[in-house]
Amino acid sequence: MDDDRDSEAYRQQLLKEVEAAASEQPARVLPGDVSDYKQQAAQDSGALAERIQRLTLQPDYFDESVRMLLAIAEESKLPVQVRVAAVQRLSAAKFLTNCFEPFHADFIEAMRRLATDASAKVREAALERLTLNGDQVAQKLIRESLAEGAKPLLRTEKAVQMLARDDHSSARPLFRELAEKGTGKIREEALRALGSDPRSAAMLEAVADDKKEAAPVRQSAADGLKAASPPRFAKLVAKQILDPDEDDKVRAAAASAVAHTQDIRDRLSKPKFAEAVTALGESTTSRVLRKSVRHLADRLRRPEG
Amino acid sequence: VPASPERSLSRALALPRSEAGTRRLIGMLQPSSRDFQGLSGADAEWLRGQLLAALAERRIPDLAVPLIVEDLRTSASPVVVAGAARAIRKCGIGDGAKRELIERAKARIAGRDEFVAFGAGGPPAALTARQELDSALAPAAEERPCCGGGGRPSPTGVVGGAAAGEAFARAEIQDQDGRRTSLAELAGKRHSLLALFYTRCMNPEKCSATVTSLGRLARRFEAEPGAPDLQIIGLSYDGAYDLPRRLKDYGTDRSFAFGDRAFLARCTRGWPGLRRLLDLQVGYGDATVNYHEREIFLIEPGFAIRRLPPESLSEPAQLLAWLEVDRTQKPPKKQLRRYGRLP
Repeated sequence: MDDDRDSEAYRQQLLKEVEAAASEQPARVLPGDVSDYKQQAAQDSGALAERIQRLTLQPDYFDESVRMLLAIAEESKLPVQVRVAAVQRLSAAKFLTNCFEPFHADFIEAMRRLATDASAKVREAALERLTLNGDQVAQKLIRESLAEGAKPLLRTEKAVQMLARDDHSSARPLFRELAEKGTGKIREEALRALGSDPRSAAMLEAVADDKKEAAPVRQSAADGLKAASPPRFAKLVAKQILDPDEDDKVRAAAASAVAHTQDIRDRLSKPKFAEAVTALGESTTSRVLRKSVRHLADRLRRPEG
Repeated sequence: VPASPERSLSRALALPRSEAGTRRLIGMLQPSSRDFQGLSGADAEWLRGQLLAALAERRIPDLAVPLIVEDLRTSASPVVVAGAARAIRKCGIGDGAKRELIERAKARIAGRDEFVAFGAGGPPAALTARQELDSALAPAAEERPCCGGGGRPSPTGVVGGAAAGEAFARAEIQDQDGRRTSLAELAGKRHSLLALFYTRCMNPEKCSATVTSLGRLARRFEAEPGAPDLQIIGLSYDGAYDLPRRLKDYGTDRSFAFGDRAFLARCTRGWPGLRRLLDLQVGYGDATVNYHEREIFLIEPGFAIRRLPPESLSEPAQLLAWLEVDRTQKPPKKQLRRYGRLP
């Protein structure tokens, strides 16, 4: 009975909070409002972008709003900020699948045109949207833009990130090349992207295990290895955790990876390893390592958790 | 040299309009052909759709009809279903069956429709994939009756005897619990239903549905008194990636009834030989599968293998009937490739 009363009180409280939150929300913007503001000579592009981001997607106005957004996104004379806001709002509209169906083909066509827009930000927004669905034209444009001598469409690390969204994108030779010859963020993204390719496991393991490599690079290689070959990843992190010559931050990251991934934990759930981890948790003077290792020891003691 | 979808399309469009030219075009449509080698999944779909549309410009032989029907039945790619829509228009498969296929395809691509242009460097697309599907319902001038869509598709012999025995002996498979054995040892014990899949498949109508149906069959046969002595094997196209744990998770997520006679597996040795033997219709990009058909086989203990129609898993009664036939028939002696000859 108490439970019932508590849950009813909780429901009432929640309703009040929802109502309060709704009343605090900025008023919805109608297509006519955007149109009027756009006509004003001294418009503020920030204010226009903000209006576009709040443009209503209610059923009564949905068609009008989407048509307006498509037009704004492609209107090259408008400020970039405004056009990017239109692409983002269109992405939100796309979530309303049934309403968006009649516009989908026009939307894809518009995004493909914007993928080669003069503005880098507009290109990125359009390609971001297209690659989420493994769009063939977008993938091809990105691959071609990464070829030697081609005009880049995006920052290379962003291009790798977008291609890597699709395991079927067949960009492995490119990822391999950038993982071997690239630098900084580009190399990190390429190493992570190789996680879709089991044949790259040996290379990823070598980089992740190389103490001369920078920590972020090793971390990216380890992320890739975890996807490419969980058994190799399990062996590597077990070794790293118990290696006294290893960097404490790397050891702590390895311990966290095991603690939070059941598959890897299952592979390492041997009494000897659990004992060694417990002993390390008691003996280490590194605060960051102690915290991760103790957490891992706890998880290994309670495998079902 | 990796294949280029544009180059392949140019070659396809230049093929002579003879029967031999059409046969070559149908050969190019197979995901196992050189033209699909190394392509991304998206490029493979683009090429498939373009080749189907090119086929629609010719007299379509009966043997190509099941392939077109299958794409309309399962593909989630606008360009593939649009190409298949153009091709199906030429096939007299009956208005009711055609309408059902078209409506199902339209519903499947509703949230991903796009304009589709066919041909190499032709004019920009005028129609979306859904509009192409609608057009397919209009009668075509060249439409002629054919047998492909009517009646019930039958199993086809693939290979039997010594060749199968050798390839099976060389093929080592590992199940979801890590147990390894040769396919010969496994398939030599009792009749087997072998279906191909891979866990990274993005099309819910293909691999996910296949494994779900396999699991349903396994449960039914386990519970049914007098059920056939049949084992059910889901075999991955992507053995390097589909490690035991991934197989187990994939099956568990789809309520697959793992047991002594129902398991998911990967091939750890002898895959190329097995792929050749079964004439598997799968293409590979540089990291994983780029296109595949739904493939199901019935294997008898003497290694006679029959390719079953892709819809078999949803028709257990028919499956049992074929199993009964399989017990009484002699194994086929020679290989019959799926698209190897025209009627």
